[in-house]
Amino acid sequence: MRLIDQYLKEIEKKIAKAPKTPKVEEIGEVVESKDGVVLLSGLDNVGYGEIIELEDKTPAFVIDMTEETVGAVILGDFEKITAGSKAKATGRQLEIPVSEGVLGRIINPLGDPLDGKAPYREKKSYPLEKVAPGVVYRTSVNKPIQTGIKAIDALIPIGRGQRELIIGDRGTGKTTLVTDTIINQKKEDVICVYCAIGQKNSKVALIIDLLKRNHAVDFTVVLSASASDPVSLQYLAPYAACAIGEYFLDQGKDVLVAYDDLSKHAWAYRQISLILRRPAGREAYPGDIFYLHSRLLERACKLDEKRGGGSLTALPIVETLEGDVSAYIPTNIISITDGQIILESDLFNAGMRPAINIGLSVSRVGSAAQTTAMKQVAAELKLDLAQYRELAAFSQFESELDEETKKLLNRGAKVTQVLKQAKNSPYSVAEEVAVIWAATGGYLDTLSLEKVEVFEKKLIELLRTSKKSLADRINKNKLLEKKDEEELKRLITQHIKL
Amino acid sequence: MKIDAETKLEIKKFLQEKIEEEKRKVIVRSAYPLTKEEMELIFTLLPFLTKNDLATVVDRTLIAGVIIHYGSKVLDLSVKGRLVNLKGDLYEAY
Repeated sequence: MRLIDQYLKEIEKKIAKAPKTPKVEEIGEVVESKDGVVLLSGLDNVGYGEIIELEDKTPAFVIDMTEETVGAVILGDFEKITAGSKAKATGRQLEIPVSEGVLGRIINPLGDPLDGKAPYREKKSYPLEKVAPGVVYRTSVNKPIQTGIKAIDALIPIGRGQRELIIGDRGTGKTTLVTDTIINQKKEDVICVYCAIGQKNSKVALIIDLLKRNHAVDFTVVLSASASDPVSLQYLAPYAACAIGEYFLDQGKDVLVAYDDLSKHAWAYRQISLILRRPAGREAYPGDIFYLHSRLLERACKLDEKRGGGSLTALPIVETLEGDVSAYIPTNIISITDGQIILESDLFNAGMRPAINIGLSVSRVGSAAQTTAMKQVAAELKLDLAQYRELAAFSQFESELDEETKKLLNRGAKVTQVLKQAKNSPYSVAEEVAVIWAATGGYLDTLSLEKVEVFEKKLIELLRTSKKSLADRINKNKLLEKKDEEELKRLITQHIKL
Repeated sequence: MKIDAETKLEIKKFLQEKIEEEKRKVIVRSAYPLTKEEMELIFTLLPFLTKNDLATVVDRTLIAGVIIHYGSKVLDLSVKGRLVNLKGDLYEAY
């Protein structure tokens, strides 16, 4: 009985809230329905990008307006739409409800929950399409995003507000880089949005499980438009993820948005464009495929103090075929982003994981977004690696080389070994700095290559247990002072006997 | 087949006029045939209707009230419309 009373009370509340004045509605009728796109007659006064509602409350958004018909992409199941069914204009643009309640949730690009829980409370509605902040609103990138991966934080540092492309073949560790970065934001003050576009449902489930196990769910939003979702939702997913990020950006927070991946996004847009009979260009992509990604990635920025000082960092992922980074979509996105991390399957198969090609990867923000401690050790590291790369071809003649060359090759091999890292194990700033400092300081030169991993493990263990004070000091000051260096030296020579 | 340019223009103008006519057409659907006084009431409330050609349709399913179609716009003042909205609200509430 009580349940029925509750229901009745809710219904009374709902009816009392309902608007009582009748309003004029814009009506149209479906003339053609093809594969997710409907053509309608009527709807004389709709605008581009406006949401219209079909008969069973399925939303669609207007993407084409010709003299006699209006073309709209259906955001849902299109099988039930019949010719002659009525559609109504809502007057709203595409938007997604946002609030603090979206954190920790798994949603689709319309804001509907996918994790089986109740819909989150809506505080505001953020538009999916938005003009990026102008030049006056921005300031230069100066704070780092700690990915917890030594190779990236030392050599290809990413700053808050930067766009860094992660590009590579399938199975080279692109998604792993992104998930490791998200896991490492636990102690930093960064909100993470992971946008899965056209991914397998099983893969998204694995990622969610990984985030749960590493306690990264509370500050992460997972937005998924999987491969079985309508193509329109896959097209909108990155813009929805960016809109959620912008809600937190406008509050002055730092946000990290990962788009996994933009190649599938380009395919979804190509499908919609071909159904709308728009002219096909190179590789059958429509003419505005560049604008599709540029307007998305330009919304990543570091805002001025006067606008809140927040930042939105974008990590787009692009999948290449056969390592071809000069294909159409990869070159488009490389020219938009502020640098790229190139992963190669040769390196991956040879055991170098993360399989980052240091030579070809670049971060155009560079050391402006690095902590002082890291800057101190990274310079030596770059030099050692560069010299090693130059002499790498000679490493086959080891016994016939002079001492100097042998030393450089040895140092390079140790340093390369130190840059390898297991997945889902991010390092803190102090741990990264300590390990690299040990490698560039020559403390590994006398060890055999297999022992380097053992050494690293021991050093990290000590920094997390008995020498935690040293690690905390370095983490806090972000600086490697003389006394820190001496303590590290003592730590290595006395406590790690190999 | 070559069409004379003037003829083309005339046909285009004719088409435009017909389309404009369609837009200005007003259909008033009511549950029972409306009396003169009731029509007068509608005209005073919605003045733009008098200028255009009017068609009236009787539709019993509306129960009461009127639905006014003009161009692609619709003004739903019928009881049936209110009931459909209520149904939608009830389903949304639970």
